[in-house]
Amino acid sequence: MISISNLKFQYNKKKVLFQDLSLKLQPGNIYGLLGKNGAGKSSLLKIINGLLFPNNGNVIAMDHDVIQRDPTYLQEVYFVQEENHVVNTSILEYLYTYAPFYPRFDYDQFFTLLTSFELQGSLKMDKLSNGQKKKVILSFAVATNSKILILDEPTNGLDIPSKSQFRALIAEAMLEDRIIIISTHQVRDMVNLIDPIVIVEDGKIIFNYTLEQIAQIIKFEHHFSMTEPQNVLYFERIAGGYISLSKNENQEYSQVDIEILFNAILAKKTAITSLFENAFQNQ
Amino acid sequence: MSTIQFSSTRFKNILLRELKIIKKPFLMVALGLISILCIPYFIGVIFGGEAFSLKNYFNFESMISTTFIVGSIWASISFAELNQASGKQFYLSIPASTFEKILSKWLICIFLPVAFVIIYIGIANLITFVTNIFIEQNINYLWPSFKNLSDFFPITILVNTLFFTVSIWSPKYSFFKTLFGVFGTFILLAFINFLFARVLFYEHFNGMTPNNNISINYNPFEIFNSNLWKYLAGIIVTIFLLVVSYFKLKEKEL
Repeated sequence: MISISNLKFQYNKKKVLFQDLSLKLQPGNIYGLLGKNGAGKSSLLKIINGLLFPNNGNVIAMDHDVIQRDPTYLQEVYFVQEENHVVNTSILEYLYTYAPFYPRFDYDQFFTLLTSFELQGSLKMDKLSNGQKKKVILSFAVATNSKILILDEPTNGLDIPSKSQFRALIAEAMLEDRIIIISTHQVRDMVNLIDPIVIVEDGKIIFNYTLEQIAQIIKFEHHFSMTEPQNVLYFERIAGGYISLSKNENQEYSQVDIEILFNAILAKKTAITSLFENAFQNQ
Repeated sequence: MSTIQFSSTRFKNILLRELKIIKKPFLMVALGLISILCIPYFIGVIFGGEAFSLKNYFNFESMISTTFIVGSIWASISFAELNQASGKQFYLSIPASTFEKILSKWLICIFLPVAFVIIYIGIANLITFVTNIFIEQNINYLWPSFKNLSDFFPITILVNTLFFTVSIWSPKYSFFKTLFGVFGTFILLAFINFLFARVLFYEHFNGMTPNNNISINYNPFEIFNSNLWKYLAGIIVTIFLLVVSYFKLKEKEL
């Protein structure tokens, strides 16, 4: 489990990024961390990895105080950066240099994933395209079998078939004792993958609910007419009509549209979050 | 509570990683530098004749000066990957303790001058051997004495550790920063020395200029003239620099 309590973090004295932020992340979930640009998603991930130190509060992951950067913790967490640091070696050399640091590294799994991405171990890392580099690093990350997998904008640079492969890869990598955190702006790439949804805004976690909880409270509807929907919490124009979000009063379960939900929460923060707080205040 | 952690397996892994990274560029730089040094030698052999002194071309002094340059440059780029955000993130995330990371890089940093000296002596003696055969001369082989080397390596270790520490502190342009820092410190010490002399021995000065007859035989560091004290002082300073490096790396964040 990752437990963040009363986190305060600021890059400089003028701007406080997180103030009194608390969050608990449980194993067996793929958390989707969403937020506007500059909301602090990447900073939060770096804090969890022990790469940034909080000004106040605690971050305890797998019984480790993350700021200590204890090697036994670092071998249980793998962070796939948005821009990967790639060394001037072949994939195989990279593998045999860094895999020994991870005690449960699965070499067979790595080679299987590499083959599925149509890459050979003899290729030079610095000669690969950004998408190919990302595939190597993602394959490596999954094969480490670390308990915490942190992915920052993992689908950036991937082509359309690779995005599907990525979803399959992460779904397969999900184990009962593993926490996967994906920070992304490309929420459409994460459909049927991320659950729960965590939204960071104004230095706090303003939303942290599972898709089931969301579908229980909110109803998403498509309106194939040019008339604006009435009596809804939020709506957006789409091709051929509107998509709306309203209170689910009749227990009609609909497919959660994460992008619309995110936009709705940013536009009607109090109205929507209060619905959830009232429904799940005892949880 | 923070404690120093060490595991031989992790240390082996991080040391091998450092060796793999440094191996190729080090050999390229070492061989490149020695090749550049060989150019005037061969020009001398071909065109210089009697006017060019081949006997002392590959000597101990040229060996230690090039080793100093190579060693200090390598020490100052020990933490070059901390220069870029992605490299820094990557390095800090490697599952090894701060102690293991510092020790592995430092060992490489003090091993490189030894490797360079071995390569230098090997190439110099090979060239000397070939020259002696082909131009029938009796040029001396470069074979430094144990005493020369035992005087030289402790100083190299100390100097390289200084460059190493600064490279953690400030990885960008750390070689020049260390040089300017050391130069600036000497200037500052000389200035403070002068001020004290001006105040304590004011009767020997005319304005800011000392009288010609001034003669002060006082050396507060006389105690360090013995080898034992020199080594002890060197060891203490090296350990101090390593402790500073450890804490500096431990507190590094993005």
